Amino acid sequence: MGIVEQRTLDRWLPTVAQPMRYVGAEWNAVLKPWAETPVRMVLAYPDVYEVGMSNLGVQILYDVVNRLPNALCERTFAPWPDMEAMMRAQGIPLYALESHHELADFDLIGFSLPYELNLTNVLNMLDLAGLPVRADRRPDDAPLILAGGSIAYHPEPLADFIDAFVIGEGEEVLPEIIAIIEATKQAGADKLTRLKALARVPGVYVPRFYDIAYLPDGRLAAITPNTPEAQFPVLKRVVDPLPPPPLHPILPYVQPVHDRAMIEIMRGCTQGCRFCQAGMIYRHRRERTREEVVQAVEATVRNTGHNEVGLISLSSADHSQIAEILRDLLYEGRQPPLSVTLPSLRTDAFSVELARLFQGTRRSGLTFAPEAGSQRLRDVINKKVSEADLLRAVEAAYANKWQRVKLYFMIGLPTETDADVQAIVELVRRVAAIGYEYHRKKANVSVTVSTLVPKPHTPFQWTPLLDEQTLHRRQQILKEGLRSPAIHLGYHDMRTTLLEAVISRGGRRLGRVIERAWRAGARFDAWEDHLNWDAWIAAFAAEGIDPQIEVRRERTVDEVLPWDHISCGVSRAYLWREYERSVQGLTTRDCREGCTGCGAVELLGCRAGGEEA
Amino acid sequence: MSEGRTLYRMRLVFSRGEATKYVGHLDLMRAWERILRRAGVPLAYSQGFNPHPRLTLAMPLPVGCTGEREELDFWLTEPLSPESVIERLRAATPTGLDVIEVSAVDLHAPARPACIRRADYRVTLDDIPVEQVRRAVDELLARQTVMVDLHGKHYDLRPLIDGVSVDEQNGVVFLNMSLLRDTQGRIGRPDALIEALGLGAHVRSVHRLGIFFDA
Repeated sequence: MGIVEQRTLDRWLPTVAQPMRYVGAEWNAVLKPWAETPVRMVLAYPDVYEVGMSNLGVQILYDVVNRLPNALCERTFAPWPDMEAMMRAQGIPLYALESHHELADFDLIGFSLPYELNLTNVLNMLDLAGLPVRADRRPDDAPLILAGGSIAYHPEPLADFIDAFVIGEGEEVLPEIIAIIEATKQAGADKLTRLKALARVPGVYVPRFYDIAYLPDGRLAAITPNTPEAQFPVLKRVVDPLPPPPLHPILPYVQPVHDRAMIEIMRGCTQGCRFCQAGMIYRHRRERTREEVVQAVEATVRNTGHNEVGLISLSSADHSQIAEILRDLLYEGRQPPLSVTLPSLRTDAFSVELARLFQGTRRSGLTFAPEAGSQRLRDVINKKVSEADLLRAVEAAYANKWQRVKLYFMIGLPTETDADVQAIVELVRRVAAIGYEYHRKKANVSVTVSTLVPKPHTPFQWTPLLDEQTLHRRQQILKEGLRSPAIHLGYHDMRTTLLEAVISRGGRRLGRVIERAWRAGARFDAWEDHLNWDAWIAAFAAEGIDPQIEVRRERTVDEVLPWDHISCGVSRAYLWREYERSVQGLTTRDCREGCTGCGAVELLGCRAGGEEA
Repeated sequence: MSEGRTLYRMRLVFSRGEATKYVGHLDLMRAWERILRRAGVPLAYSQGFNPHPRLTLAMPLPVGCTGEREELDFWLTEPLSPESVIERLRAATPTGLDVIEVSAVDLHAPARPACIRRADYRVTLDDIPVEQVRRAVDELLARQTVMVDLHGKHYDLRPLIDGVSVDEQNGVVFLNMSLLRDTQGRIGRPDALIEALGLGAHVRSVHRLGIFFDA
């Protein structure tokens, strides 16, 4: 227990890369008085500092908790392997950046989990904090381990390690949890009492209060609460309207991967793409008004000194006042200059018009995501882009002096044939031909092809992952068809895809695999050059789980899925209906054109489909 | 960058403390850019695709060192009084960067890095008797040449050493060094001298007391 001494850090930090990752004291960092604050929380991000500091959720929750009179919130990130080695060699425990208190001193360690491939870092961070990784081995006085983020919607692979999960948006539920921590701490309650109190909070999932029963073949038989406090299902929390965004975000010295002010302009998406987990789990759609966005941008720019701002949402061109917002922010002669990015554009001419507004004189490259090559397959995934839309958008881009167009596609989509993949080749060639008309040999098309990872809470949650043989054959079709100096083709690593797919759909038993892989040295699995594949293969083998079988199996409608006790507000019946419509090639409208009955109206209070819906 | 515009040049003297001593040079420049924007001073930007303000640090500080009087020149599009710039900057600087003074500088004054004559450092040592440090210093100063390798360069440090002294306060040993910049622009680095003295393992902290200029 205690503070990691400055002298110790001074002796050893100069020996690691980027010491400022481990120092804190950035502009807008908040250091609240330790002794006077009843509840002490540390936000833990299981990736390196530069990645974690680019996460909007971290900035939002840091702001929310530090505003509470009864709590403080500090930060910690996964130490890079050189730092980890140094910490282990010198006996330095994982500490928080603000006060340099070691993690074991906090009441609450809250992991933010945005991605499947950094779960081994969660275990590693617990271990570096000197805590047993398994929840049932941690003593009562150990900090409570909380986790939230998109991974919490399918939490079972981490159920052995995490005390409680927050399902959904943390802005309101986190203060409720902190109030319970404060009350139970004052009362001197034991851990079980505290967990039972937490289990009653809407949106909190305490895995130990749910029993998992298996069928003889290893599939799930049932997930059943074993205490009256446990909710079933656990319905995610939403905030409506969106609370004010953080206006004093922390400004790192080490350059974060997204080095700009981030203003969330909208949460949720109405497009209904069937592969998209974010589109399902972040429902319903809530917009910030033009005035709110513009004021937030101006305040954040003033409070940070940023000259670049990202307007964040799942589909920024869908904001009803996006053009007006851009005009308010980007006027001639603005001092100091401001540049604006919209990270997620649609594939249409309107989006190019927007890009013209915000890119100004910069023309780095414009990205479109048609996702599938043939109209038939775009209908299957409910990506409402026609070939004509795409070609018009591309033409508008090249005509407006962009020389580079980036295209995103997926393979491994349900019902996909080689002909659909050949359609990608033809589409890309058509795009390249338009580029050539405008820019001759300077035109460039960059094509990124990923493999569909079927995600929980999407209509494709029942779909298998594409087998490797077919994947290679289809990649070959692309490779041969797109051999041109004007076209650059990139893939995602198959091992990463497989691991992501297994963890995405894994149940509670997968926790043992994760623990074994971590013990064998797996860390930073998302970083291709750090992925320790041998450790994973050995861990799967030792636990008798064949990852190929796990992901290549089509689930039936009546099969119990490992996340069936978690509800994101979109009903299982709707997802199945969407899956059936998908394989029949039937599209479903954008729900702003009329409610499509996903369940969010009843469960979340959605009004996106109109008041009458 | 200044086509058709009248610019005003200012010089900031600041100290760099513990909280920012590991900030790398490029990261520090980005931090100053943002501090100046937060302070709301009218920075002059380069023209072109990606406008950036013009800032010049007199002498980068090696990572891990603190500094008593560091210098940064910056250019404005409107004349502001040094007092008002100081006031605005003080409200915008983070822990570990403290504004000491701001002055107006002639626009055509030579670039500051070219005017450096020498810099003085005070090094705090750990776990070493003062006599041993004195001996190491005496031996080194008695040599005609002190060949060092630093960042892939092999050179003679001896002519860049203006002076080295040792003192002790309350049992703590300090090494004071004054290092020169020669006519070819080579600058004596404190870490090179510490290595040459064989004291690398005993350094607790390195503090730059000041930079001294010809003009």
